[in-house]
Amino acid sequence: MKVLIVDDEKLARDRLRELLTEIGGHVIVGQAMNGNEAVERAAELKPDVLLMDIRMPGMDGLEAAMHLMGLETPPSVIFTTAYDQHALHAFEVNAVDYLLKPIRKERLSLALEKAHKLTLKQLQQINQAQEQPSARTHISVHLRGNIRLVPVQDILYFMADSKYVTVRTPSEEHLIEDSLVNLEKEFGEKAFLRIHRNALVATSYIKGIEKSPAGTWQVSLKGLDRKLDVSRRHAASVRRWARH
Amino acid sequence: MNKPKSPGQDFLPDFASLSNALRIIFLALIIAVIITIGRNATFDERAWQDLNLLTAFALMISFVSVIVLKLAHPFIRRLSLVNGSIVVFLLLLCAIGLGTELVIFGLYDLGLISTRWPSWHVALLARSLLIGAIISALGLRYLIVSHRAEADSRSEQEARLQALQSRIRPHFLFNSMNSIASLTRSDPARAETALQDLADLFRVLLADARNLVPISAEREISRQYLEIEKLRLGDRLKVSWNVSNVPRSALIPALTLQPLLENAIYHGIEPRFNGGTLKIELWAEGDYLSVLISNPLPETQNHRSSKGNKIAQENIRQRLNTHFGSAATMQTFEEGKQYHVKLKMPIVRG
Repeated sequence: MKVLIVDDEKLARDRLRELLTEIGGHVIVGQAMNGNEAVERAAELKPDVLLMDIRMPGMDGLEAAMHLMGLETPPSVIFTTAYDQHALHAFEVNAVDYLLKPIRKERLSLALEKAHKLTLKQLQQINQAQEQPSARTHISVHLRGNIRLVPVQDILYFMADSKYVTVRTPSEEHLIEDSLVNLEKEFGEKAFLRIHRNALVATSYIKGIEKSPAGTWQVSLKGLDRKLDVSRRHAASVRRWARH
Repeated sequence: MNKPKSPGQDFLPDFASLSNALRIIFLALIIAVIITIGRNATFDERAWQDLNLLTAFALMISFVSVIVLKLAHPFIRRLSLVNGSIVVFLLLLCAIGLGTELVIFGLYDLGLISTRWPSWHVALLARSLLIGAIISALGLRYLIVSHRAEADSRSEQEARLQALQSRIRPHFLFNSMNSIASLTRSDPARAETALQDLADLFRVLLADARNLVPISAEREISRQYLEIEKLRLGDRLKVSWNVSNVPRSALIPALTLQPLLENAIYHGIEPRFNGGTLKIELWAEGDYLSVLISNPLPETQNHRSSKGNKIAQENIRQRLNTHFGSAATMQTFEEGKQYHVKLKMPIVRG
């Protein structure tokens, strides 16, 4: 099998590499040091299975696994972890493959033989089981079977039309399949503000709120020339936000 | 996770719970017996009559009290210990007054007395209230103390468990073991040193941490701990010690530095892509020893679970307080992209 090793600690990666060599029959196609790299490498190297640590700088293993679901043929994921009481329980309950560090050769061999593909539902349940279920740090955009990660902190707004949601950053625009309701639930009232039935804007980019000549309210954003309309229904909550 | 309600949130017991209601009724019966014994020299027919009457009276008052407390419970439970006690006490007095009135009304209704307002009415009310006030105060005190004893033993067990976990972070232990397992193949000599460091560290972690130790010993254990972390984190962890004019014999509480360093790494260095520098400064100023530990803050604050931080800090704060009282201080603050913990304590020489 083609294996991608993901861990932020060099010695942990070394150990997996050595154990895999001893077990034999597997090809290590590459390694990554955090969740972002794991997603990029996986899209490029198309491994069959990832051996992935959970706690890593930046994007953690659980979020990376979630983004990988968007690949045309998502790889299997075996999580490796030193200790994570909440995640472990969730892994057991949802029959997700995991290995405890220090990793044993026999367990690794066995896990690779019966490695499962994850489902989105499993991942969501694991995230819910965490002490603080966390929002994604990135949004994944799919481009011809490839994955592009857009940091949430770069996003100016989400705008929904009939089928897709547009994700706008200062320099780019992407389409994703998601719903504003879900996005609003995930990224909460703090980071994003609903200004219209079809628009969710990043509060950190809001420059001003003004009245248009037509008498409706509009939001202007840093790094964006056009202004976004505030619907009548959301005007009160937007102005309440502005006062704080 | 649904944790059981932490004790201490409710200062007052639930007076109207079944067990407490039974206690109140039992108490009332005992009072009836005591008063009967006090009023009758011999145990004759008259004494029995007395007991019956007093029992009925006491039961009536205790029932009214339990009902009043039950009704008032949702309101009382939000009050502090002092306010709540006062309110409960006043409620009990009202209940006693009400109970007494009900008994008199009952006697009149049954035709046992001829008037609704007999001449002894006021006297009876006053005596009931006086006896009731004393009994209520004693009973209240008893219920509160037993409630608190129960809560204390529960929170003590929780505190012990937390103290242990704040000393031995499983994440660190198992990751270190994994690193050492890896080194046994590539660099057995380093694996050996790491195991020895880990053993020394755990010996100290498992020892009684209530003592003062020479600062040199605490520095040594911190150095060994940092060596193990360097194995795991490689060049992501840089450490800079800056120690000036600290007397070598100065004593500090055991495990003051190491847990703070572990916090700094777990919350500051490890979540950063490129790690960072952990700065440790120790200096003497007059009769005081100062410690400043600084780490860069992570780029993204999405990391789960930050509870361990507070437990370790709280633990150290308590131990500083035990040894030095208000002479020692511990401050934490953020400055730009750096997080600092500053300790200041009187210099004690061994």
